[in-house]
Amino acid sequence: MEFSFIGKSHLRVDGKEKITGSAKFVDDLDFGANLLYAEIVESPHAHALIVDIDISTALASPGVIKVITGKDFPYRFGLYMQDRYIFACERVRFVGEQVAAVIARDPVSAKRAAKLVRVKYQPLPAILNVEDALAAETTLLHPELENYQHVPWFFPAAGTNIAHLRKIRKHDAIDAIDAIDDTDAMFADADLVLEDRYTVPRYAHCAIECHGAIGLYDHAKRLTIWSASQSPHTQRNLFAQALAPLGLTHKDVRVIAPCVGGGFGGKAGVSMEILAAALATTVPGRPVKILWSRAQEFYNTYQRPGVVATIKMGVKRDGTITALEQNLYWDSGAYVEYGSNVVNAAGLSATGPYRIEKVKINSYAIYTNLPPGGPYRGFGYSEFIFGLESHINEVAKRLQIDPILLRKRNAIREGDQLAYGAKMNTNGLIEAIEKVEQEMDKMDKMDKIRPHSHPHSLSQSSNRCYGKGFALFWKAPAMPPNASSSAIIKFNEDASINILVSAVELGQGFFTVMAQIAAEVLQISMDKIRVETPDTDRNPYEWQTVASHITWSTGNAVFKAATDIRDQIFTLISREFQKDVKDVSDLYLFEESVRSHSNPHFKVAYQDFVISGISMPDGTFRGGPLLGRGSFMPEFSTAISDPETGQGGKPNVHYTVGASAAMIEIDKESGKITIPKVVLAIDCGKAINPQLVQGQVYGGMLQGLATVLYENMHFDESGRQLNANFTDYKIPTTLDIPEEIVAIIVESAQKDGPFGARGMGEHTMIPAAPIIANAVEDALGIRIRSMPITAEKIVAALKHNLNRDLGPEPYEPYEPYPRTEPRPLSEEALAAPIISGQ
Amino acid sequence: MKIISEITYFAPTTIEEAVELLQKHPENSCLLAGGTDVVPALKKQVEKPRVIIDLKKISGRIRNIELKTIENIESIESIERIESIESKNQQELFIGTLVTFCDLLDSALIRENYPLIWEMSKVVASVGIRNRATIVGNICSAVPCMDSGPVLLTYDAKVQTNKRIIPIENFWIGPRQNCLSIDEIVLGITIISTSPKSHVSAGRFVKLMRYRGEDLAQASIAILINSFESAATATAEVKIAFGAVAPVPIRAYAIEKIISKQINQWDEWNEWDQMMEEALATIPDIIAPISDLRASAEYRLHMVGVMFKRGLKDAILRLQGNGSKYGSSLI
Repeated sequence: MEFSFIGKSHLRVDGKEKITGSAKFVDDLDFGANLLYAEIVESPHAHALIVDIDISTALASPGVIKVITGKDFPYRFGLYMQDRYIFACERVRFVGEQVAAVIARDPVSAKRAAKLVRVKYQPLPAILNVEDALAAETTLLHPELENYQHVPWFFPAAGTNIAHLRKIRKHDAIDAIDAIDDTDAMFADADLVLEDRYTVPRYAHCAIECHGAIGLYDHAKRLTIWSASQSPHTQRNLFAQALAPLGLTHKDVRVIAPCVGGGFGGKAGVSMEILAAALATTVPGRPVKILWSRAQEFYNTYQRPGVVATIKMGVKRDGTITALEQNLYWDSGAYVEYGSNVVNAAGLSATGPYRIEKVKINSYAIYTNLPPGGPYRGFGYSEFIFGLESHINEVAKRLQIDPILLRKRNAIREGDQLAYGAKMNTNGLIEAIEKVEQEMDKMDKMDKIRPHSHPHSLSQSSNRCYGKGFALFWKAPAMPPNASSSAIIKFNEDASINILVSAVELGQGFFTVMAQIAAEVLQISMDKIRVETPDTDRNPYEWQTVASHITWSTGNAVFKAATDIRDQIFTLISREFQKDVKDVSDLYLFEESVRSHSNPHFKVAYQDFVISGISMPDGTFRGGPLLGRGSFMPEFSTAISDPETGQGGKPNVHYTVGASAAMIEIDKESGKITIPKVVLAIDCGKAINPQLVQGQVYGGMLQGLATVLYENMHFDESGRQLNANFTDYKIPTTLDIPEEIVAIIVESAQKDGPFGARGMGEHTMIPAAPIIANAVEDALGIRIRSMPITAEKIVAALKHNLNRDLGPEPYEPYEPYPRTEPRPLSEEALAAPIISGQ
Repeated sequence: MKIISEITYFAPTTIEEAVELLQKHPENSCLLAGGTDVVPALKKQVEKPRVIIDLKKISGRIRNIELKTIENIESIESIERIESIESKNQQELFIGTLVTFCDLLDSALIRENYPLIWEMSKVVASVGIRNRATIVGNICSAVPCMDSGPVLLTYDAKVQTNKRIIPIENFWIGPRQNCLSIDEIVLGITIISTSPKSHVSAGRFVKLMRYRGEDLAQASIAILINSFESAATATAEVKIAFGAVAPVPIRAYAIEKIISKQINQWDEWNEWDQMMEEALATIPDIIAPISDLRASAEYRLHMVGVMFKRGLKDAILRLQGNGSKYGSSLI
């Protein structure tokens, strides 16, 4: 089908606003002279009981209006499990956690006074890794776990540090499912069984805009929050729930999200924004602003959780995977109200995009005294795919089968049974694999040319070697079954439109894609469309801008709203122009006017009726302002399943799949990796805007490559993060981009998606770690099983020269994660943020 | 992030005024030039000075990069090397206290005559920082991983203050500690050398970073070779210094000795491996790297060897006109 707007790389509709600086972000908003500022008092302990808080000195400090502690807000909240307090109550559970806040007339007074709040602690043993958390005689972080409210698909284990365990037990022969818990039986028919362990550390989102929020509680008891958020409606819901004891209801709470400077999951749900909401209620009539510093952005928002994964895979001699057992031990941090769903999502999908007869998965959300683990682009998939896709190469090597062939043999196809029993959706996985293979063949040619043409002529060619790595990936949106979207489209006098939605444009191009969808249905040019930033009072409901579901879900709502207007137009025109046209089916829209199939001369321009109504000969008017509405909910989804097997539900609406490969060059002396070429093919159903899809591939790949090459979080033995800054937490610069990134778009239409589209934003970073790990193995014969794969790690591995003969023991240059590395502190580390209240 | 400590700010217009202010506030005062070290330290409350003396309003020489010919070389003390060389044609480079790394990068004089300074400046932090950060501030902060240290060591630079001239090697006394007295202000850095007419010079600066973007050095090395042509014989000297692998940047005299023995015959590549082996063996005795979250001591030690091997080779090739372009990457 030929489209006018869909599948075209239209310029971003928010481009001018952003590059001219007219776009307003939270910190740009002006609240006048009455604005108050809040600063928090942070816990210096990873785990301690709060014995006493003395606020008297702080309260007497110049400029201070109020000092607030946990006693003022003893309410629990959370997205999927209510395990958080607004301020730590009785107990602190990570270094940097908010214990109190000072509200003052200016930021400096607030900060000075925060240092004067005296908190007495009784330290408790700090649990800093999953092994310690699971030990028999361990300290419990949440002794009241069994009393916490949570969604029905979570299974906390009272009396332990396990906040949730997602179990999957699958056997293609349903009546044999009991055999799955007998591991020996599960692997009995395999010719080769390979077992291993992979570790992934914590990571930070590092959006360029830090978290920030302003709260205003007016004298009529209306609470308005301006926040840098991916989730305005979810925030309103949680604010209203948490503050219900104050008499607030949903209609009294309003969340406004202006332009947002990046999120990557870090601004989903509710983290520090609850402080702006709570603090505002203590100073009615005056707005209170709270902004996170870059250091706080690291240690007091969500972090991507770390994971220890054990994988056992059984295969037939011909490469057919017969059985997979995976245990995922997630370091989910101090609070898991959002992070447990990462654990859940990974547990459901830890088979990867493969058809496997027998599956046993345990995915554990484990409390530790480190910052709360939560949503991060990839939502658990990047983490297990690192181990799984590394492991598949190791299996292929032992079978002496080409690793790509092994993947093709087991690649999941439409209609195959997923690990939880539902059927796999339409997908172009095989096409993606083949297209990446073709690009890799070009790499081979490049391989032969490069050694002579490379600029590093001094690093002798014997120091350099090349490797290629390949991996598959998939991901489904992780959402409650009733996560929904809605849209309103309003016509203006000149036939321009405003699209009201509550998803957030955070750089991904959402506004542009929504405008293209409406433009296609209504045949309006792109420059006559504005898409508005969310305001929960004025814009309709959206669950959250997460899960790569926005193009699909909000796109469906916008499509429905546009179709709603179109139908109203057809009804009105066919009624009022009965003499000129046959009926509704005779009408179509073209170039901002209504046309007739049967009457080529018939044309009614939008601007002649969309607001004013149709002018009749007798001076009356027909119609009225046109307004379209659209709601979308995936009504087929359910999270209810058997807790012991995970069978029976349809928790995921669909999967997006793809393949990726890298060619790398390793300097064997320095261990440094350069990347001449990366390829990624993704089946996004329909690329509504191909250039934006490409942009996601570049951005996601770069973000993923950084996590495998150099990003890493370091904590000391007391649980304090040592690199909560960009001096020692490295995110890529323009100099670190691979020499070539090839983005391949595969389109096998998603039947329930707008114009066939499905999400693809997060997915592009998921395969980055295994393509590098596999390329390193290809180049050096060394399998590195812990991320990141730094230059130092490669040199250490080469020096020890172990594991080159496929020996049984994995080589680990360091103590395996998550044991902390007690190293002497550097100067900069000693200069890290000073924690008050000690 | 706000600065929350109370500070009195002074902006004197002459060095004399600045010295007077230092004398008046002998404790808790701090000089400000580029501010790229001072301001973050203030924000993080690592340092809590009560008085900030901003030097940026002072005009005159401290803003300049100057190169002049020295006729009366004997009057300058302790320049044994130059005295031993049969040349009256000496030149002095002066880099004022307010000269930023971007000034150095933009200076044709630096690029042509002191390419090592240029090569080093190119990898100092990022463009934004280089726009403000001064090379004098870099040596005064005395952070062990400073980029300028090794290069200045190989040029035998001197630090000129309002009181004295200090050889750069004596300037640092420990991590974040320089030898300046309370009322002493650095006016600039001087480098005295024979003019390019009488010798050929080439060098290499190599900095180990975690990625290609801006980073603090995990280790660095500067190598400078001066070749003096005279009618009778060709003589040459090699100077080598390391950064970020000891409490202060250090000269590697032991290696210089080994290399200088053979450097005049550098066409003899067959001797190369043996010379390298001898030189590399001395490295563990020269440096004392630490393990921290940026790199382990083992990796630093290993990489110093790699950087030295490649750096020396490239420096020699540059001297012969076949080396890499200044500013290119070697690791």
